[in-house]
Amino acid sequence: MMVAPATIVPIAASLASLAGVIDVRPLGAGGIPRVSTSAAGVVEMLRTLRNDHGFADLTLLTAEETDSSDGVTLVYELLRRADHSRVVIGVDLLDSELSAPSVSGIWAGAAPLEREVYDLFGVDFTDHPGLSRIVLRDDFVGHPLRKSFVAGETGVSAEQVAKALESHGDRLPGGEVPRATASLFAAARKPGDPQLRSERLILNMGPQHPSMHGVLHLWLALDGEQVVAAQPTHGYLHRCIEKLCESRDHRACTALLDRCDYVSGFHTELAHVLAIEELAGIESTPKADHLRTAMSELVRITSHHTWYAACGLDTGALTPFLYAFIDRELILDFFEEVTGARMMFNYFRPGGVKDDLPPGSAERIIAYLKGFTRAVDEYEALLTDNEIFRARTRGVGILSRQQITDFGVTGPMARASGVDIDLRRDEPYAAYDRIPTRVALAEVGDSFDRYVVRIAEMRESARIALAALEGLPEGPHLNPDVPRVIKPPRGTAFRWVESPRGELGVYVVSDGSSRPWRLKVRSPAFSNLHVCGQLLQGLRIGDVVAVLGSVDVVMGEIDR
Amino acid sequence: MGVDEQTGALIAPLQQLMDWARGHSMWPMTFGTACCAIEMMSVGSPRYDTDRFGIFFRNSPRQADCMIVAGTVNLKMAPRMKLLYEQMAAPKYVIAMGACAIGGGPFSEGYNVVNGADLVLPVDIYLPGCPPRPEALIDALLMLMERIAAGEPSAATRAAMSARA
Repeated sequence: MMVAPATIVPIAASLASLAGVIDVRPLGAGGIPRVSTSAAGVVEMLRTLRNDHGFADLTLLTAEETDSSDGVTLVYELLRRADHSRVVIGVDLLDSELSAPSVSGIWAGAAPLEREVYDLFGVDFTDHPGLSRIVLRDDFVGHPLRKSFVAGETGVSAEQVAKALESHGDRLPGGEVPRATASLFAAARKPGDPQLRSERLILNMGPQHPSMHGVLHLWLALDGEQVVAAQPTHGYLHRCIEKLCESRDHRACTALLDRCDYVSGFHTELAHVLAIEELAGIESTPKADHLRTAMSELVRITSHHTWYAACGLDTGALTPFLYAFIDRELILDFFEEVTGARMMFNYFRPGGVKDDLPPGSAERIIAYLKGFTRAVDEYEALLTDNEIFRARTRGVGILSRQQITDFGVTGPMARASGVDIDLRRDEPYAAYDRIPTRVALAEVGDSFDRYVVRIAEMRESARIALAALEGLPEGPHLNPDVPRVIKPPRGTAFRWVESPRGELGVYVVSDGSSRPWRLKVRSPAFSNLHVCGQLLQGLRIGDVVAVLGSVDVVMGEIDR
Repeated sequence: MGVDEQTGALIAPLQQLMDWARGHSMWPMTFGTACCAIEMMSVGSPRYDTDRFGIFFRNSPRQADCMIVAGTVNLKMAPRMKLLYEQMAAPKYVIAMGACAIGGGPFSEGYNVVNGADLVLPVDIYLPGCPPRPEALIDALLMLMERIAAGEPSAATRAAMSARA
C-alpha cells in the first residue's frame, strides 16, 4: 500500500505512541529508529505499521543473541517506499520462553524467514504454517547460531559424516515428515483428475539437475503434467558463513562474504564495508567511491551473463551460453588485472579499496565498455525475437504485485512486474548519487519480462561503469586514517546495496571488539526463490525450468 | 600395441584398447555445488573449450565417467553426492576441485561442512585453488586422462583391491 506523500509523517515522532512500545532509540549511527516491544504485541505493532503508516515491506526478519547470552532478540525491519524511511523492531526473548507469534499472516514470505530463525536460533513461532528446519538437515541436533553451540575445533568429525551418510536427513529424528513438507505430501495423496484418470505423484527436481542452478531442490506434487504444489528446499550449500564471521576480524569477513554470492562478490563486499564504515565512523574517498561503483556494475554485467547463459540453456538454447561466456571472460580479465582474482576479489576495504587501478587499466576498461552495446545487441538477436524462446516464456509465471510485497521480492524480478524500486536511485550509496541510474521496468511480470529487464540492465550497467571510470577523481584510493585493527563501538549497522538479484543487506552487530557479535546477510535471492512455491502452482512441468531460469537464484547466497 | 605388417591392422590387448579409448573421451558429470561450479562452466566456454580434448559434460550420472566435486560438500549434500556416485557406471573417477572439496577450505571449522570429499568418495585427483582457474581444471582432467590411457586403476579400484588383500 502506497501512502500519498502529503500524508507522510516523520516516523520517529509517532512511534512512541504506538501500542505496546517498550522504548524507542536510534539504531547505531545510521539514524534508523529501533522500537522494542514484547512478543505478545509484535504482530499488532507490525500490522499497525503496515496498514496505518505505510510500512508495506518486511525487508529483514532475523535474530541475534542478547548481550548477556540469556536469550535471543528477534529483529524485524520495515521499509516505507514512499520516503524510504525504515524502522527496526526488536523483541527480546528469554531462554525460558523462546517463543513468539508468527507474522506469516501479514507477510506470507515471513514463513521461510521464520523457519531460518527457528533453524539457527531455536525460536519457536506459534501459528506458523509449517515450522521446521530450512537449511540444516532435519535430524541436526542443536541451533548453531547460539553462542553456546560449539562445533568443535575442527568442525564436523568423521563420525558425524559417516552418520550423515546413512540417511538423506529429510525426516525428523523420530522418523516423522517435517511440517514444512507435510502439506505437499498431503496434496500429492489426493486423487488425480477424474476425467484424465491421472494419478498424483511427487517429483524431486535437484539437488543435482542441469537446470537447478546449483544445488536447489524442488519438491513438486504433480497431477499428470500439472504442478499442483511446489516447495523449494535448500540448504545443500549451507556453509556456516554467518557463524564463521563471528570468530573473524571485521576485515577478514570479506573473504567469506565474497563466497556468499559467488557470481557477484563485489555487492556483498560493498554492503559489508558500508556497514563497517558506518559503525566505526570511517569515511571512504571519492576515488574509492567511483571504483566501487564501476566494479559493482561490471560484476552485475558478469552476473547477468551467467543468468543469460543459464536462462538460454533452460529453454533449450546452447548458443547464448557460448556468447555470454566470451564477454564474461573479457570482463573477468579486467577483474584479475585490478583485484588479482577472477571471482573472489577481496578488494573493498573499510575506507576505500585495496589497490589503485594498474596503469592503463581504466583506458582498457573504458574502451571495452564503449563497444559493449554491440555485444548486448548480439545477445538480443539470439533470444529476444526467437520464436521458441518467446513461446516458452511469454505469459509464463506471472508475478503479481501482491506476491511481491508478500514475499519481499526485489530486484529485476520486481521491476519486471512494474514495481519501480532500485536502491541505486532510491537510497544512493558509493558514487550513485553522482551518476544517476535509469531504472528499467516492464509491465506484465512474466518470464519474458524478467529477461527484458535484465538485458536492459546490462546496457545500463555498462553506461554507469563507463561514467564512473571516465569521471574518476584524483586522490587516494584508501583513506590513510583507517586504524590497523578496526574496533567499532557497540552498536548496530544495517546497509543495503542493489545486487543483480535485488536488495542485499548486511546487518552487523558490534560488541566493541574487533569481531562482529552477529553478522547477517539479507539475501534477495532467498525471497525471490520462496515466491516460486506460489509461482509454479498450476504450471506445466516444462514451464518450471522456464520460470526458474528467469528467477536467477544463487544458492551460495540463499544458504550462506 | 603393435601393427600387423601384412594387413596393417592395429593389434593390441582389448583392455589396452579400452583404456586408450577411455583416456581420450572423458565425460564428466555436471555436478556443481558452489563457486567452483562457475569456473567449471567457464571450462566448457569458448575460451577454454574442453570439447577439443574429448571432454563433454553430461547431465546424467549414468552417462558420466568422472565426477568433478566442484565446491563445498555439507552434511545435507553428502548422502546425495554418494548416491550420485553410486549411480555412475564403473570405471569411474573423482576430481576434488578446490579447497573445499579437498579439505573444507575456508569453511572447515563450520558445524555443517564435510572436511573433504574423500571422507565420502575415493578421490583420484586433488585440485587446489579457491576456486582453481579453468586452466588448472583442464590440467587436472588431462592428468586423469593420461592415467586412464596408461591403464592405471582408479582410486575406487585401488581401494577395493586393498580391501580384498
